[in-house]
Amino acid sequence: MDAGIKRKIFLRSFLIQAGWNDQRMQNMGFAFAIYPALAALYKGRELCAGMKRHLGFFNTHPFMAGFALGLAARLEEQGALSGQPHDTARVEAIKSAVAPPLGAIGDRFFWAALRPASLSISLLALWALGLRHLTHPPEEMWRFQTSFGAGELLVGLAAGLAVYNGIAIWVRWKGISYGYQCGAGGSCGLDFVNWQGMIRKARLAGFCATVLLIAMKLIVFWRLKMPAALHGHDALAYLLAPPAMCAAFFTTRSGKHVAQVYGAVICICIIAFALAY
Amino acid sequence: MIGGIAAVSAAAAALELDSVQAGQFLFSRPSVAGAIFGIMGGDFLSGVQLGLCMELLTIDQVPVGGYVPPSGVVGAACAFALHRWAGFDSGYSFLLGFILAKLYPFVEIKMRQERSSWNARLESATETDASAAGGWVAKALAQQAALVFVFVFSGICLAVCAGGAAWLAMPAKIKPAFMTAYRVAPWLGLAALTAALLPRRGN
Repeated sequence: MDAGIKRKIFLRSFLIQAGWNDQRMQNMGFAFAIYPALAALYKGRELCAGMKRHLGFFNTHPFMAGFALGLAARLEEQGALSGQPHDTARVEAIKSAVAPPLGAIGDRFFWAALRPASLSISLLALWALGLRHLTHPPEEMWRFQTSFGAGELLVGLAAGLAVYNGIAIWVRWKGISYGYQCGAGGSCGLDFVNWQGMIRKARLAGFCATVLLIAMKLIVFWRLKMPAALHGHDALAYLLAPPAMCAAFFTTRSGKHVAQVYGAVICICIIAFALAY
Repeated sequence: MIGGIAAVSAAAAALELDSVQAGQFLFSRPSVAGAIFGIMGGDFLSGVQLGLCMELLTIDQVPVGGYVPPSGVVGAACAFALHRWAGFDSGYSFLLGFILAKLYPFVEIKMRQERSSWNARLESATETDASAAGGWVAKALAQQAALVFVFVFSGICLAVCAGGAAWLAMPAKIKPAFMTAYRVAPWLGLAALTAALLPRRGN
């Protein structure tokens, strides 16, 4: 596979999830992405038959699809060079074998570790640049964020995006060659890096950033805003926050969604305002 | 007002493509989307705050397998538009936006089911045209963008009418409850983020 074909597959792999459907999931995106490799090997009816081979069920994590695309390109190349009739069942079986473990690793690393960690990094950067309030503050507190502008905002958000996309694009690009080189015999992407270690590091970095952010928010609140906060409608928010945070922590930890706690907070607030104010 | 809502809906349609179908660069991250809506609407701080809160409350939901999580882009777009152009307070706008974000997956699931019927047609088209998949991919992107635009635009209009009527009918003394809950929301999100990232045994 030459560099031009690899580049085309890489660019097309950004559309691997286009046409996602319940029946065959990423099949349309996969066929679209593998097209440059097949077009270099076949012409006419053979090319059409080659494309049909890749319209079957396929599903993996989008950033890990590069490994499967590289592998499929290698299988097609081997088939074309052998001069034998294509073994469609073998291609299907190998794709089906590599996709689920790659998907499982991608979900755990990119969705469950790197994405929240990059949010923590963005939040920490935004805090460092001057964003003190994640909601609209009371009028008297506006002075704490008057220096915060669009430039700081973009830098803060870009910090998280740069970390996330740097790793994601690197895995996508390298994955194609790695999958191509491993062929059908290797573990194809599972040994690309120490995924387990990467997951652990991403989680730990995000966890530390979030804990630091919470600690700094609490310190600022304690030193500057405590007297003002205990008056008026805001008092309820500050009274509710600690138990609600505990509930949110344990709800998320048990696999349920934090939205449920937000719903409960709204109900409590409505009842409290109806009865007390 | 209508022009602003249409512009935000169009931006949401483009950004939502990034969340599943094209790229996954995280430009569809609600905080980024919220900042874009904020700049478009001339109130970027509200946009980023609503977006950040939306993201913190949806970060624990990941699109694993066929699961469709609430759309943070849809939520941020609706919340921002309701705050900026309908004049609802941030807390109430955020709640309505969050409800619409939770409703969006029902539409997305229907669309994915409907797209399954394309497979047979794509297969027969590929028998004569090897590059047919490209056309179907483009069609899928256009369909998704159109659907998100219609959902966000009509969702905002519906929320302005229904939410406005509910706001007027609501006793005045409970109206601040939404803003209070909104002030607690980032703390909930940070706690959820901590729980999601806390290393587990074996990880």
